[in-house]
Amino acid sequence: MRWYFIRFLSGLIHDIVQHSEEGYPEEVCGVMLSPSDTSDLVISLRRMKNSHDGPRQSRYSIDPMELYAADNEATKEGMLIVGIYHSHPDSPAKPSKFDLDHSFPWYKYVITSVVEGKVKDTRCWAMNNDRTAFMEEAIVEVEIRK
Amino acid sequence: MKVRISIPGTIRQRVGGKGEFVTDAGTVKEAMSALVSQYPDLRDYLFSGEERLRNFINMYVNGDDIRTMGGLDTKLKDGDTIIIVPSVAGGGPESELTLNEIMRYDRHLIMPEVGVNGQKKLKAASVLVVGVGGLGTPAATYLAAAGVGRIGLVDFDRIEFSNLHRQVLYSEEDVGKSKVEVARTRLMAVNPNVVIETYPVRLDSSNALDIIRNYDVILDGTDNFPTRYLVNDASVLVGKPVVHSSIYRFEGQASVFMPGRGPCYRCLYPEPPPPGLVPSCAEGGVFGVLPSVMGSIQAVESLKLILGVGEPLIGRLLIFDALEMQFRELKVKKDPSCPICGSNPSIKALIDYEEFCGLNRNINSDEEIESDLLQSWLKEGKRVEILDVREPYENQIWQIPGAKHIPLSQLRNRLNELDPNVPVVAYCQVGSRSLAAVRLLKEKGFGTAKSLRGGIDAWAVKADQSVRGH
Ligand SMILES: [Zn+2]
Ligand SMILES: [Zn+2]
Repeated sequence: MRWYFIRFLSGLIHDIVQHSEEGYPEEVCGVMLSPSDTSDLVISLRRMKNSHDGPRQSRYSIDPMELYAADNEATKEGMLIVGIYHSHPDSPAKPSKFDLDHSFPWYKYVITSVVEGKVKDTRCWAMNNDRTAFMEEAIVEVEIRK
Repeated sequence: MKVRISIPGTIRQRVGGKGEFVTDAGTVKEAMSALVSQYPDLRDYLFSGEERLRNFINMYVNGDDIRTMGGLDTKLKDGDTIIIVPSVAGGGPESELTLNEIMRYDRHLIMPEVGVNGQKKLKAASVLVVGVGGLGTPAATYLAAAGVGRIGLVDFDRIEFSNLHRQVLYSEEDVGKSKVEVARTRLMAVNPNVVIETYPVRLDSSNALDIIRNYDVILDGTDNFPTRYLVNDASVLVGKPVVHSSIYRFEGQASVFMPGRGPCYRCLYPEPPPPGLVPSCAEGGVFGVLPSVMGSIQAVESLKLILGVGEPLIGRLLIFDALEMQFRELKVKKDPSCPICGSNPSIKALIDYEEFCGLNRNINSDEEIESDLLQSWLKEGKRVEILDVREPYENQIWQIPGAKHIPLSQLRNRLNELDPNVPVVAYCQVGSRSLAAVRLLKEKGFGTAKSLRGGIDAWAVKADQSVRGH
């Protein structure tokens, strides 16, 4: 049996929660960065603009050029984009059908559920390789000592 | 042609590739064949089936999306750079209908104009109801019942006893409670599938843009000119359609103001009427059922806009006369010189709407008197002429004891009935017509004339609880 989990430096989950609450009732999104040799440890986040040009309560999209710039910058800093986080205003922290249709197997997806402006749940999902379903991964927060 | 392919970090990491790949190719397709023959694992990430670019993979040549050019057949020149970047998107589950919803909306789903797709549009849509009174309560009730996914309610007021003859969402036990809070509870009971957001605030220039921005359609159920102009201007500035209505006694008006497609409220009424000229419902009264007819028309228009069906009330002013039981329609043209939606707008940000409508402005302290002070004058036995300037049918209901009655319309010709040596305190229902009366009196030599601030409504609440039965 394999245990699925993703590690976050402590404080980062709090930042995702804060971003989700600030953006409510719209969805917010951002990217999660790891050192390029340790892809299961998220050490930094970067907020992205939700550039969906319809109602943003149930949709988000990241401008490809903004993502490309973030990706290049990460490379320069020895990091890698390993996942995407986004919020679900007033709905559960589970991937929607739309999420399934638009996700990639190489990213982890953190979803927050924001109910009436407060984050009630934060979960992480990874897509299986044939792109038919998501599997949940446990979120583990870690302290790194110098 | 020597071309460069730039591969984002996440993808190249998974395939053990480099960030950059240089090859010889005449088209994007040739460049990609060279790339995937070097890194076979990439094929599955980039293509689905036979050489079809995956839906959510973008390729740009020197910054231009190949989908807007020749697709994979886009020709390349020496030194071109191809960028591969995923298109990241997602969302909540909002647009799927649940079993409960499929059963609840059955009579919608079987109509071709709505159907499953229309019902999903309603679910994904949001409407802001400004003013949860006579117009807002029936409108919000139908919007919630019809399944509009998110409904915002803006109202600062608490429920008053005199609201109950028309605002049928509220009951007697609600008097004194916040309108938006009670409305929210009732609407959630009507349809728990919809999200109700409440704003117990006075909409003003500091908050209007932020609130209005978050909704697809703005339903204007306000009862005063400053807020009406504010809603119009803010909606034009952020490009939202306004479904408008106003009511007075037995007559209602409705229209849809759609930025870019038709006139706005200012095109129809460039200037507000002078204060006191057009009475509000509090002052002039309203036939109880009228707002329900007009609010329902607003709900109809809002749903049509969301569904994209029928002929919206754009560029048309619908006038309903309940006494004659007639609907009439006026054409309204967009005014090219409109200060907010015209071709060269002078209003580019929100202004002070109280001032624009001539309210709260230039009222000198010596023009008004508070009801408490008048009450104590009367107790002291001070000589004062109390003047009721309302119309005859109004003061039959109740009045301040000992008042003399001269309607504002007759005041100019009946000044000889007043003694210039006795201070006059004029009053009307809410204090606007009496202010006009006081200005006339001062002009005619009654220097000490004062208007009862807030009219007999304020008098009833503050000074003489016995005047009203509750
Ligand atoms: Zn989602
Ligand atoms: Zn206009």
